[in-house]
Amino acid sequence: MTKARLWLGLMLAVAAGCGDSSPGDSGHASPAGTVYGEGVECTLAVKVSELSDNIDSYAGKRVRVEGLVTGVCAKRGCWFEMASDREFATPLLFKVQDGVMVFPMSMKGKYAVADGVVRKIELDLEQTRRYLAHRAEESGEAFDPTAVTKPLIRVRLDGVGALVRDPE
Amino acid sequence: MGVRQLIRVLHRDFGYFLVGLVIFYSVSGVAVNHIDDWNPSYSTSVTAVVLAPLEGTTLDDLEREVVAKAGLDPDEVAGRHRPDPRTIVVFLPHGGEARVEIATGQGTVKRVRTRPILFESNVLHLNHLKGVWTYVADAFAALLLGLALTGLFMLKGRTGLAGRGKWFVGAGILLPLGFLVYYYATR
Repeated sequence: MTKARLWLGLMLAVAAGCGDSSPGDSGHASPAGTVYGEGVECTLAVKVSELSDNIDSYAGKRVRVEGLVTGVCAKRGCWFEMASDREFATPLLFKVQDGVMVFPMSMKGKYAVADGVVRKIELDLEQTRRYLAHRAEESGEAFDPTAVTKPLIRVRLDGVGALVRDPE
Repeated sequence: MGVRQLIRVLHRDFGYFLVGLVIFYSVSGVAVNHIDDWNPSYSTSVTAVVLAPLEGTTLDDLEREVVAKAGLDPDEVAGRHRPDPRTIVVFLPHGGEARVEIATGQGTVKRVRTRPILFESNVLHLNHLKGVWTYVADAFAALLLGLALTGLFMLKGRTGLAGRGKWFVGAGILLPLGFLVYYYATR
């Protein structure tokens, strides 16, 4: 009995490891909200509409944007979309590599402050249809490719970190 | 205690200890392996709804109308959004949403639920927790290696590594190697 306990203790000690807990990339709670990745450190605050209107000026720069979360990657939790401050405008995509940060679907409807590097992605019509078809499939919605007649220019933030909280 | 007896003791106790982790990881492994065909963490159901046309002029009014007409629980509403002039989206728990065309009242209610056991298994297996769990997962991998290596030398004779064991070990090594050779030869 004693030997068994010793063994178990040894295995648990090995399994528990001794590393400190880095910020949880599936989010860890803070007084201000749930922090993802490196959190929000960038001081260059830009509105989503400003970014969309002047994409060439901001491409490659690290910025901070804020907005309502309107969509989340359903399968891998590797991106979310933020509504623009301008009514009915195209939302901004915040993207990370799979597993670097994992965003839960319950984030939809919350408010995000996001820190990342701006990228301009020009899709042709076929790429636009594939992209929208993929999005529709992931979210379980019907999709009609013939309804898409214009190619998209996507503004994307390559994610460094984010802070997500309830909307005010 | 002889070396072989020590190996058996190690193998036995590693095996006992790892049962729980192996179950979580293998269940998640199969689920995530088929991620192109399904969502291993969430289940989604979409129901078409036909409400009366919405008459509200403010976002608050539209949200209230959708909630009332679609029979939603006001307490479960997690927010709302107008993606375009024609549509209102009311967010529901776990990423669900009611999406309604204002002029016609036609739309869908999407309910999202986490898959019990699978969701939690995926959180562990895919290391969404990060932090200390990273080291637990590393230790798990090391102990699995220990389990494999001690398994090689548990028995001797006809059923040991020098006997029939070598054929099984060889087959287990050839399987992944064969696939790699095939993969690179046909690229």
